[in-house]
Amino acid sequence: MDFRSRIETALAKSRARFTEIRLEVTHGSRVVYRGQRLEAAQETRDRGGFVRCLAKNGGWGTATFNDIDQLERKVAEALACAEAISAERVDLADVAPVILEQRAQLEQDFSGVPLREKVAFLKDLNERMLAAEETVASTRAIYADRVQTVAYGNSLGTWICEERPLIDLVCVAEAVRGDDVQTAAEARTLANRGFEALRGLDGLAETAALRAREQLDAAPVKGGVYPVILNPSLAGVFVHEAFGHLSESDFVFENEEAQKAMRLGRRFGRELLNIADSGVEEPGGHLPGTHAYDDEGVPMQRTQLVKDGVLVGRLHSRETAAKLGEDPTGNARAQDYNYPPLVRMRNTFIEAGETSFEDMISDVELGVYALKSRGGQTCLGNFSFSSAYAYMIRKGKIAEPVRDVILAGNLFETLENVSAVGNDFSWDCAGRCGKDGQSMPVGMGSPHVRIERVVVGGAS
Amino acid sequence: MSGPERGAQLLERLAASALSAPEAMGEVYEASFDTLEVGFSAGAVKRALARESSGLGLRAVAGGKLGFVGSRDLSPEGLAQLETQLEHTLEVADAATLSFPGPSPADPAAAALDLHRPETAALTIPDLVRVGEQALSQLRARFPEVTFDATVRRSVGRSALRNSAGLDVGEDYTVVSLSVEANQTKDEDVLLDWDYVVGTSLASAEPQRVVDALSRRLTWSQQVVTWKPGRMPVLFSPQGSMVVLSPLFQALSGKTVMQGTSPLRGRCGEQVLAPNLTLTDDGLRPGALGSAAFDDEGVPRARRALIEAGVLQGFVHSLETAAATGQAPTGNGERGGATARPEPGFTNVVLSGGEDSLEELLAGIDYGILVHRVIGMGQGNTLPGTFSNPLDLAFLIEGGEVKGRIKDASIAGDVYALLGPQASPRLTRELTQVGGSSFLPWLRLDALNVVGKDSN
Repeated sequence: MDFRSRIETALAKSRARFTEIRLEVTHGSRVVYRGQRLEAAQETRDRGGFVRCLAKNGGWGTATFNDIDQLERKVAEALACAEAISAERVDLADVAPVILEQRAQLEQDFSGVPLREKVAFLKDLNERMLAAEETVASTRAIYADRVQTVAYGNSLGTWICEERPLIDLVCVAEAVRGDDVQTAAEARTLANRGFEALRGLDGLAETAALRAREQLDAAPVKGGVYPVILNPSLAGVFVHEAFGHLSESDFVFENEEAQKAMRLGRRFGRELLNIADSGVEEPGGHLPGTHAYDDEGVPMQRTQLVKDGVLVGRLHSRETAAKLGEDPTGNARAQDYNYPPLVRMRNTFIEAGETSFEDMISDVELGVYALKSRGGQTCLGNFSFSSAYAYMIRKGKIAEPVRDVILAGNLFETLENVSAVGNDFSWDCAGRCGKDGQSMPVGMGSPHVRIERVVVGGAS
Repeated sequence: MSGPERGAQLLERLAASALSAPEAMGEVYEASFDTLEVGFSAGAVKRALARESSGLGLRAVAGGKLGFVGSRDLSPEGLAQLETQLEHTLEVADAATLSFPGPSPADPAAAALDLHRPETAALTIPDLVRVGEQALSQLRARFPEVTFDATVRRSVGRSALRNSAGLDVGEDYTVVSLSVEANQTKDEDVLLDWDYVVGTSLASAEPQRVVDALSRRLTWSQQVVTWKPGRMPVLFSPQGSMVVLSPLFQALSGKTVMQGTSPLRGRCGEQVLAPNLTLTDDGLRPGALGSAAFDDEGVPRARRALIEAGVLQGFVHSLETAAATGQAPTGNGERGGATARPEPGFTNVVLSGGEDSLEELLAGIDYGILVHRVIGMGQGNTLPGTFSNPLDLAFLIEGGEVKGRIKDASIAGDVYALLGPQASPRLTRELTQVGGSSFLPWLRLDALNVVGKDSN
């Protein structure tokens, strides 16, 4: 029996107030080189299901499983879970039912490329990384692809089947001089692209090697408070980590203090600040957070979050939208069948401003130019992220390279301190965003951004 | 078809096809679990979940190569695919000298582990709700202005390992856990804290410990105090000490030794840390989450000092890292799930206690800070031992007393200097269970750089 009839039959038998079902099959491959050594080359398969039910006057019960022949039993189990607890009644914002089947359109479908060809591609990339710089002692190169086929149906009559192809390519170079070890990573996440998209990414190997070697020559930054210019890649991570997560309404919807802090109409920054989260195609294309519908069957859209410095919107699931009396935005996303959808960002960005990079830097007496993220974290109002590489700015000019640059601060103060937004927007699509154990592909974008008075933690 | 039959049939089929060469070996690892979980949001029960998960990892050595495939698709067509996938992976794999172990007796101490507790397996959703409500009602009463979320979970699991050298071992286990998250937002100040306990049964997990630990920190947190940066004594809570211990854990892994990046490689017998530091990997600790008779590759688990009185004794190895570095396997081959490759990992980490009580460690601090949690742990390259992190939850200690919560502070340092042979870290006698498989004391270091917002 195909997935659609399985799902429709199970939905018809459900006694719950609302039922939704996802069945998924994922196949992919993964190749890893570490130094000269091929650490892994394997094909993977996954298959499983997710059922979520609302009790008559209560909340969610969920069942997840690998054996999809058990679907009807799992629907009953999910409802039993919902009925076993006395939760407050959950209501969902209205959404029109939809029927859509969307197959991936790939130029060269990577599912048909033999594993040995993927190994050969990565071997070449890895060897060029090892050869690019004398100090590069070790490397890690990862190629991973997968097609996740997600079939979704709910008791409103919605039926969606979408193929989600994704390729990840990661190059990590490790440069060594004496006891000093420095790593640099370059990565790309390619959504809805075939194997052909990898040609043209040759430069990643050399860039990673060069950046790692440059870090050996960089001195640790002196900790303190500086004006900081973030390059587009790092500014994209900043807006995602520091601001985006607070726009996810599951954070505010049960917390009155947080609702006050994130009240619509509140000024967050100067007029030059515009922030949006989009799940539709934007110029630059093939963004990893773009889909026709989210994992609750809500159409994705472009959601304005900050307009001219003022908070004007936030991100919703059907549940958070109903609770706050707003419209759903198509931000309910689930990593896979093991997880319920959560309010997640899609492609989050600071819109282009008017300042050229030259104008932005020219009056910085002493500051830091921080590029690319090495990782970031937020604890609600507080954030921290480290830059992959950085330079001091002295008398308006880029000066010596520095390392161990970790930027930290409070979101509200920091956004107020954004003093210039560049005219040089670009997307950075690499990696994932983690929340409650779920890892989602997201896009991030920004032009160069200047922020005054940023706490820079350094090793000295 | 039940798990053990499936594994045996797969090995048999492979012996006739992909693994027909005389020296070829196969191994099937299967893991499955059933979980029930309830979630509380803003103090009230909100959701209930039932999870059933199963998967399989298949390894083979053939033609001097090591191949691995994993799958959660155990339907007939999924299992048929596995064989083709194994052929593909063996076609491209690098040379490997690994061989799978035959049966060997477990350590006698393993008989007392008691990993499967029937009373845990019998827990129902209403039981789990009661555990959560008991913890939350106490916390709500003491901190009415704080929002609490909680998750209570119980799992019943089984893993089974079978290989063509005749090994056939399996383990049943139960796990129950409670985690509570506290969130207090006041104007622009966001306070976030959490705690977590886990054990094979409610008796060993002790849910009350979450209430006690969170209550103490929330009490300390209510007042935000100003402080002066500089070089000062720092007291790490058992959770907070991970910032200085995690670079050591990385360096003690056979993986970084095999890769040649561990700063401790080739230094066995050397005094690498202070003489009062002893670090043990204890795979046979009763009630602890990392305990079992065998590791995930069928090697008996053991209790081994990795660092004894500051002297390096050895590393943790999987079959692969042991073979690559010419060492004996140590019973530390761990799989992150049914479909993950075995990697060297710690079982239960025990840092032996010292001579002080927590009160004595506090009393010795005139002006210093208490670090409970940093932001961005493990960010950047911490393997060489250097770290630099903003503090997420930390407190000012003045005149031997905790005065209140501090903000905008960062710490930085070098683990091998701070804990090195010349250092004199102080430790509490008592150990705290962190995350179910780490047992750590409070740790005081006498001089650390603490950077603030107005430091330059």
